[in-house]
Amino acid sequence: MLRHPGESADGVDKAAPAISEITDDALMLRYARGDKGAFEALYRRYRLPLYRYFVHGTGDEATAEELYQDVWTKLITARGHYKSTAKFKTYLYGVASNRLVDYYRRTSVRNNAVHMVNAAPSSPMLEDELDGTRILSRLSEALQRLPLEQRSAFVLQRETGFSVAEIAEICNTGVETMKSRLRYAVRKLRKDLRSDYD
Amino acid sequence: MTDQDELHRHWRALQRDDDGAVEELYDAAGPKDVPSHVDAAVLAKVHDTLNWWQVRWPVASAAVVVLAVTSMIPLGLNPYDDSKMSRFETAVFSPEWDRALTRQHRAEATRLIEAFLNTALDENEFRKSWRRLTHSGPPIELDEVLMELDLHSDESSRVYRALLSDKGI
Repeated sequence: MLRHPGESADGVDKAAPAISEITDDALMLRYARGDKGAFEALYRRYRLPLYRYFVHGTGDEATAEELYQDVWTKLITARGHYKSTAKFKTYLYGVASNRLVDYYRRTSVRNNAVHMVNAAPSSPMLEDELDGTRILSRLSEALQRLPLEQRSAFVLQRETGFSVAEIAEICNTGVETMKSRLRYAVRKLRKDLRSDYD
Repeated sequence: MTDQDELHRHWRALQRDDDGAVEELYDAAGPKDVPSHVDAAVLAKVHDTLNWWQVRWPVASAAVVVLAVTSMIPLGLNPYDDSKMSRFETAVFSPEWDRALTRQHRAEATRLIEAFLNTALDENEFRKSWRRLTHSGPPIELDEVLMELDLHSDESSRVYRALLSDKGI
């Protein structure tokens, strides 16, 4: 269990109010000067959404773990060069987005995954067969069937709460293009996940 | 409501084509926490990196300070006497002092030439003294010294002859 910086062994979080008021950028700059507690505070803020971003983005927990650690390692390694010219959150997810795209480019698993999923569609899921594990599986497959750009944009929006403009900036594209990607992503997911009943 | 119930509820909403059902199903799905071994790997990385920095940076800083201090010690002495500092180092660390030394050195060269021309200073002695002088400090431009002295051409030739016979000029 990751303990909050300043949290004592008895669970009383004496420094929590102070830490919670410190901005991400200030924490990152403190970490760049060697403050380990600042890193832990930042890590605590972003660990779960970033991990979910990769799990949903790749559909594979082992790959997600690898990419997740890569991003934090890059942040740790580059801390001395960090400049607060952009919001830390934008910086972090920019690194994550690039890592995800880079992973698919290097391994070409996107095409393989689409081929595999299309080749072996799940059997229809009837109401009386509803099972949580199968729901998760269906959702994961539907996400993997999305084009990478749409999937990355949709997952970024869900995990970060970024505006369309911020996601467009991270993905290095225009706002209108991003709006279209997000709209298509939701439409395709809805169609895919409801296909058993159409 | 358990996670399973939550998933079922959103799934049914999706089948009814409710607004926002896709997004709500997505939010309810996926990991609820980061595996502890993943946390441990990241935090170990940051601890290792900081430990490297915290341990080695003070050592490196101390080494730089010691080097800087020891290299500055000769500045308190005549660098040309003890040969502890090169002319380049003197010019870099103390340019004013270097210029003063050059002026002083040229003045000594002038006095030596005048002594050779105006007294009974032996040619060999003049050469030896000149060699000691030129080897103990900043280089001396003989032509400039002779021009400053505004010597007659015979006297300049005499100085040249005396020093040219010594290959060290």
